[in-house]
Amino acid sequence: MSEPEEKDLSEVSCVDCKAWACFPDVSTVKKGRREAPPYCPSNAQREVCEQALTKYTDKTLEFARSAALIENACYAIDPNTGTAVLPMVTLHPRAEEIIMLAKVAAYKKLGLAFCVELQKEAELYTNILENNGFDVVSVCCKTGAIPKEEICVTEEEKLYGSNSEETMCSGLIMAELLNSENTDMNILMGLCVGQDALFFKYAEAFSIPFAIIDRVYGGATMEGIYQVFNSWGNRNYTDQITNGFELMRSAWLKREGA
Amino acid sequence: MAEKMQCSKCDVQVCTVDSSGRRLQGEAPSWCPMKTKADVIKRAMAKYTDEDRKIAHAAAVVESEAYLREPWGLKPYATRVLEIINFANKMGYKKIGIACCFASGWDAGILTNIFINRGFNVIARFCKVYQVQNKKFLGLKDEETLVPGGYQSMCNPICQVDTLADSGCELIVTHGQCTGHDALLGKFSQAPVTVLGVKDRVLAHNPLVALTSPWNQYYRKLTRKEPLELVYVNGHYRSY
Repeated sequence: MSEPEEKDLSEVSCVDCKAWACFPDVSTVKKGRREAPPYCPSNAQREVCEQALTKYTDKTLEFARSAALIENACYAIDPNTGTAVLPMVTLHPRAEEIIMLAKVAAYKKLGLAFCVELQKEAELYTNILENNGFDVVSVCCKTGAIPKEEICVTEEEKLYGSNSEETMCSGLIMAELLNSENTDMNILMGLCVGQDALFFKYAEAFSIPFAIIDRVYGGATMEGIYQVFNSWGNRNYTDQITNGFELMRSAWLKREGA
Repeated sequence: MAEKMQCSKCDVQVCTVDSSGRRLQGEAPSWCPMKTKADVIKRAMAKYTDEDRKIAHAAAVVESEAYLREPWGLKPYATRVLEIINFANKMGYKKIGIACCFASGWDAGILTNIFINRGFNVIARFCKVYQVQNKKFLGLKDEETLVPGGYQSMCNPICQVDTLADSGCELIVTHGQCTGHDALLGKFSQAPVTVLGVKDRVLAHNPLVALTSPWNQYYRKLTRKEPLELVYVNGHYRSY
């Protein structure tokens, strides 16, 4: 690995850091604040960070506080010492965390934006949210039924071949519809890449991704990273199917030269 | 007063197509946004900027190219990682920023390798950047932290995304962010944000299992008759 100091300091990636000054482990946290190395963005981009901290204003700060409470709420605590049980014991799935967050932040009206392929799951989650006392509006990604020609998709680029009457997905329309309902918080279920970018850009309320769509691993998107060295997953890594050991070696060589 | 928009309880889905590419037939429900909010949809369509159209087009093509055409139909081929790579290629992005949780740092390393191998310039930022103290900045009580008396840094998604933007990232990929922090990140990002993985601490980062597997205990807990009870014990919220 090249010395981080040689590069432009704002180009140093956190995955290359060996100092781990921000390591959130219980024993480290006990010792207090540790000094960050000079290449850490805390030092190299200090002005940017200072500027960013001013963006935590009333509503945002309140939301950040609720999120921090929920983050801490998801670990088992030793009643005698008040510290987290080690090894960490986790308690709540994300489906439940979102409900807890909405309750702690005292949100009443939730918007659910989902992919049509997840309609049954969305229906179930709507029922769960309504059972927990929230006012829910939901909207599916094909709403509007705008033909794909509207965004210049040619016949060859369509999913079901030429002459199909496909309608486009639209994160923007979903966001605008939920804005018009004045939702307090939005939940995203299975939005494709690109559509979530549009949704985040236009939604006025905070938007929490709940589930991510993965066509191969059925929602377990992280498998695409964990299984990258086996024959099923190395399609992510390279277009040529190679043997896993070769791939792993080349991966580490690549990092060395990076 | 019309009923509220509830696409998740719609069983006709006239807005979409079947697997042969024909529009589904039927009568849309009275609360269908295509009927009640046609003006909102029209205004939303007018809001598409050139960049948005490019993103929407790239997203449609990426979705279409994610499948192999087999004689029996469509076979899913592209994983989410591959879709993000294809999307970034189509949009012509050169520099990708990974915004991830410290706990997903190992994944971010592999992901960095993948993106480098695909010819991108990558920078990752962990969530604890700038080490702002939780208690002091957010006003948490001492017993509300995980280690009372310690220095627990807060997850700082706004600093994360701003430092990435400062380093010139054109696409932000969030990975393994906690509930709420990804919402903050998406809200304050200037560059487009796409989500690769979300954190689910008990279901191995596959949150949908809680809704799809009826034998799962969390499924049973969520779908029971009584609503979840939120309690506050010794500084920590619990849901029973």
